[in-house]
Amino acid sequence: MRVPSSSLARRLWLYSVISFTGLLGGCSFSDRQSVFDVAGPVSKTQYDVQNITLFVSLGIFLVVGSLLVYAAIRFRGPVDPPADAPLPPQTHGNPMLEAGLTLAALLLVVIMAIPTVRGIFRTYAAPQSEDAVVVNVTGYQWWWAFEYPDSKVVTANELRIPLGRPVILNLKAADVIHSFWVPKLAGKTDLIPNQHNQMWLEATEPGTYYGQCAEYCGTSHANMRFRVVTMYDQEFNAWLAQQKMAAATPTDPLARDGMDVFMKGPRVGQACATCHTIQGTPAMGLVGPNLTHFASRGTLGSGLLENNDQNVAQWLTALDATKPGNKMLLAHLSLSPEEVRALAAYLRTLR
Amino acid sequence: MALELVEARPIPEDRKRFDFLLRLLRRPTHLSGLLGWVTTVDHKRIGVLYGVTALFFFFLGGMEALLIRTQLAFPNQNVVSADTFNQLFTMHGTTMVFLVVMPMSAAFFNVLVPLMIGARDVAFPRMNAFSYWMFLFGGLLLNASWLFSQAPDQGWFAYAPLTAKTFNPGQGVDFWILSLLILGISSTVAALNFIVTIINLRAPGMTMMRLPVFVWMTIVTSFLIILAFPVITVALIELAFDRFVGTNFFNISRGGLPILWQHLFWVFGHPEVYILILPAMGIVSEILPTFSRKPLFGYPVVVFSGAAIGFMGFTVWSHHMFTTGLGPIANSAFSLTTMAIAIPTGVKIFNWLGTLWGGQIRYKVPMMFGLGFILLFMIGGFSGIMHAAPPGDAQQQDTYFVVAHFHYVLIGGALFSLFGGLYYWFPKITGRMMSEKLGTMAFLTLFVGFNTTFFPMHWLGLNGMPRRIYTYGEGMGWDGWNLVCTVGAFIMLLAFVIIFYDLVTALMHGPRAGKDPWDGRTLEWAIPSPPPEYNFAIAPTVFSRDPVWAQKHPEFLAHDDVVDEEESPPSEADLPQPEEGEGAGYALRGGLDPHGIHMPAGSWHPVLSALGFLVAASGLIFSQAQPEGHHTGLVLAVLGLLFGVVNIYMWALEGVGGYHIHPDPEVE
Repeated sequence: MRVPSSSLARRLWLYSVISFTGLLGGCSFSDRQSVFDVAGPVSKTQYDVQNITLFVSLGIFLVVGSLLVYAAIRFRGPVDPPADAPLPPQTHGNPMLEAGLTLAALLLVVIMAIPTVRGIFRTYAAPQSEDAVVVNVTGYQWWWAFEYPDSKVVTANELRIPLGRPVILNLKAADVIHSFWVPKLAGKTDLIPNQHNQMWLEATEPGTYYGQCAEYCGTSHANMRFRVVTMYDQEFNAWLAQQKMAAATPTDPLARDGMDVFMKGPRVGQACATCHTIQGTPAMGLVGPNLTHFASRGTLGSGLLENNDQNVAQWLTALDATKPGNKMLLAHLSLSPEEVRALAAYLRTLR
Repeated sequence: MALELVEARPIPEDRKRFDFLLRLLRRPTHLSGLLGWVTTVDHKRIGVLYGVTALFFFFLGGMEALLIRTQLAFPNQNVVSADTFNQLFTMHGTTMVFLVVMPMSAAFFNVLVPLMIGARDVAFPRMNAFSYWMFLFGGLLLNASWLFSQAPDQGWFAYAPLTAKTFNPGQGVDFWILSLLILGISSTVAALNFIVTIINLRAPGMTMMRLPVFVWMTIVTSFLIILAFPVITVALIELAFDRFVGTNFFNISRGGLPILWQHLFWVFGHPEVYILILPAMGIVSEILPTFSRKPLFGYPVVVFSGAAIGFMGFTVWSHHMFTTGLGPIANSAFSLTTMAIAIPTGVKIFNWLGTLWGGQIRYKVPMMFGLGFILLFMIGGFSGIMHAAPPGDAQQQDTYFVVAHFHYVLIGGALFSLFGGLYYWFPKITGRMMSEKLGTMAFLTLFVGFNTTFFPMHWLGLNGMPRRIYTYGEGMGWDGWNLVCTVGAFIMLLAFVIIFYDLVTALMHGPRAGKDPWDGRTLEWAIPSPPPEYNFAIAPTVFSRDPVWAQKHPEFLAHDDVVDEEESPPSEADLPQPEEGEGAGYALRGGLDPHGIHMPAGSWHPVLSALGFLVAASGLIFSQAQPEGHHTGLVLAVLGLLFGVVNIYMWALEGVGGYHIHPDPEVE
C-alpha cells in the first residue's frame, strides 16, 4: 500500500480512509481533545509517527486479513467428513517461507523504528530558544497550579501561553501521580512526586485547547481538567502584567460582604482564606488554587464548569455532587444564600 | 473394575503417642460426594474446579463491567458514585486477570497436560489441590471486600503513592495486597508442578519435540510465572510493610520514589500478559490442525516463537511507562524491544494461517472460535504495535485506545480461545457434547457484541477520552460512541448467557460423546470420555508427534521432515520404534500391572492449609482496621499462618495411602 509522500497528501489520504470507516458515526476530527486536530509541532511529530505505525498495521491487516478470509472460504470442507475421507496434503511446514516472512516482519519493524526514534528525540527536548516561556506545573488532587517563575505569576487550571513560542513545562506532583495531557498540542507526560519531569509544547494555531489529567489519581480524577489558551505576544505580556498585580479591594457593598465571608468564613474554621491565596489580602492559604485573578479564568473547578455566577453558586452549595471527594469538603461549608451571593459578587471582582 | 484399598503405612508403636494428630486427619482413601471434591487430588477434578470457579468470577467481573458501561453510556451520569466506579474498574481488572483468565488457563493445564503426555496425574497431586484452594480463597478474600464496602479502588496496577495510607486510608488496598499474595502462591506453586510434570512424567517416546503445542505453552507459561511472580511478591510485601509497619519504600514524604513501584509492577506485569495469552495460543494450536485435518504448520517454529515471546517478554516492561519521563534513550530501547516482540508473534499468526491453507476446514464451534481468535488477536496486536512507538503512545497511553488494545488481545484473543477450548474438550471431560447450534449462535453473538463494544474505543481514545474516568462532560464528542459500546456490552452478556445455558443443558442431557468425537490428534483422544480415574490403563509408548492422528492416518508420517527435522540420527536410535502389528502413532506395551493401578488417596491438608493462609490474610487485613491496642487481627494472622504451615508438614508426613484399581482389559 503506497503512502503518499507529501504531508498534505498523506493527511488527505488518511482522512479519506478514516472517513470511510467513520461514515456511519459521523466522526469529527476536530472534537475538543482529538489527537487528529494537531495545533503544534510536538503533537504534529507524534501524529506523524503514529500514522506510520497505523499504515504499517493497516497494510499488514489488509494483506493477512484477506489471506485469512480467503483461506476460511476457499479451504472449507465438509463439517463431518466420513472417517475414511481422503486427507488434504499433510504439509508440515516450509522453512524458506518462514524465513522470508520473518525477514519481512523484521523489515517492517525497521521501517517503523527509524522515524520512531527520531520522533522520540525531537519531541523530548525543547528547541533552544530565547523566547521560550517556562511554566512550573504542579499537580494536586484534583487541580493544576501554574506558576510563571520568570514573571512571578501564580494561577490555576487555565494555562495561558504565547502563540508560536515554545513553552517549557516543569512537571511536579504534590501528592499522587498525575499526567498533563492537552492532546491537540502534545502527548502526555506524567507528574510524579519526588521526580522532576519536563515536557515542552508550542501552539502554532490560536485557540483554546482542552486538556485533562491522564493518570488515575483518585476519586475525582475524571474532574481534573484544564484549558490552554493562546495569546499573541502583546496580549500575553499584558496578561502577565495584570496577573502580577494584587487584587483590588472591591467598592460594591455586596462584594465587600463577600470579601468578609471569604476572609473570616461564615463560621469559625470555614475561612476560605485558610486554603486560598488572594494577593494583597490576608488570604495566604496554599492548599487550594490561587484565586487572585479567579474572574479572569474561563472555568472553575479545574476546567469543570464555565465560570459564571450560577456555577459559582453550585460549586459553593453542591460541592460533593459537583466534584466528589473534593478537599474543600473538609471545610464542611454551609453557606446561606446571601453568603453565596456575596461571595459570588466578590469573586467576580477578582479579574 | 475391582477396587482394592491399601492402608497407609502402619504407624510404629513408639510413635503412637504423637500420632493422634495423624489419625485425626486420616488420609481419605476414596471419598464420594462433596467431601470427595474437597479432598480430591485428581488433576481432572481439580481442572473442573478451576474452570467452574473461574466462570463464577467471570460472572462477577462481567457484572462489574456492565455497571461500568451503564454509567458511561451517557455523559454526566450518576448510576454509580465516583468512589463506586473506581472500585468497579479496579475489581473488574483484577478479577478478570487473576480470577478468570489465569484460572481458566489453569483449568486446561490441569485437565489436559497429564492426558496429553500420557501420564496418570501431575507430579505433585496434593500441591495441585493446594493451588486450587489458594485460588478459590484468594478470590473470595478479594471479593469479600465488597461486603465491607472496602473494595480496592486504586486500579489493578495500584500505582504508588495512591496506595499509601495517607491517600488511601481504608482497607481496600490491604484486601488487594493480601489476596494477590495468596493468588501468587497459588500460581507459583502450580507452575512448579507443571514444569516438573512435563519434564519428568512424559510417556516413553514422548520427546519434547513431540509434545502438543499446548503442553509447550504450558511449560513456557510456567517458567514465566515462576520468574515474574516473585517480583510482584516483593512489591506487594514492600507496599504491605509501608502500610502496616510504616516503612518508606514508596513514602514520598521520606523520599520514596513512586517509579520504583512501576518498575516492579511492570517487570511482573508484562510477562503476566504473556502468561495470559500463551496458553490460549496453545489451545488454538491444537484446535486449528484438528479442524483443518492437517498438522500444525511449522511446529518447531511455533514452539520456538512461543519460547522467544516468553523470553523477550522480560525485555519490554517499560513500554507501560513511556510517559513517566524515563528519557529518550530508555524510551527508544524499550520501543525497539517491543517492536521486536511483534516478530515472533506475527510468525505464529503466519503459521496458523499456514495450517488452514490447503486444509479441509470443518466449521465446528471450536474452529469458529479459533478463526475468531486469529482475526481479533491480530487487531489487538496492531494497536499494540501502535503503542510501541513512544511518540504515538504519548497520545494513546491512558486512553480508551489502550482499553481497546488489551480487550482485543484478552477477549478477542485469550477468551475466544478459552471458549473454543471449552467446546473442544468439554466432551472429553464430561462425556457429553455441547450444542453446535447454540455454540454457533453464541459465537456469532459474541463476535458482534465484542466488536461493537470495543472497536469504537479505538476511536474514543484517539478522540481524547482518558481511562478510568467515572464520567465525562457533554460536548466532548464522546457521547454517541459510548452508548454504542454499552449496547455492545449487553450483546456480549447475551452471548455468555447462551454459552452458560448450553453448558448446563449439555451437562444434564447432552448427546453422549465417544472417545474421539472430533477426529483428534493427541493422546487425550485415545481414552474414553470421560476418562477413567487412572487416565491410561497402560502408559502409551509414543512413536511420533500427534500420535492419535498418526495411528489413524499413518500416511501423515510419509513426509521426511517429520521424524528427522529435529532429531539427529544418534538419538533417534534410542527412541522406541513401532513393531509388527503396532500402529504408527503409539502402542500399549507391557500389559496391565498385575497389582492393579495404584491410585493416590485424597487429602485434607491442601484445603486446610489454604484455609490457614486465608485466615492469616484476613487477620492481617482485620488488624489494620482495628484501633490501637487491639490485637485480635494479628493473633488471628499468626494462628492462621501456623495452621497453614502445620498442614503442609502434615501432608508431607501423612503417608502414601491410596487404593488399587484393576481396569477391565476389554475397555483399555
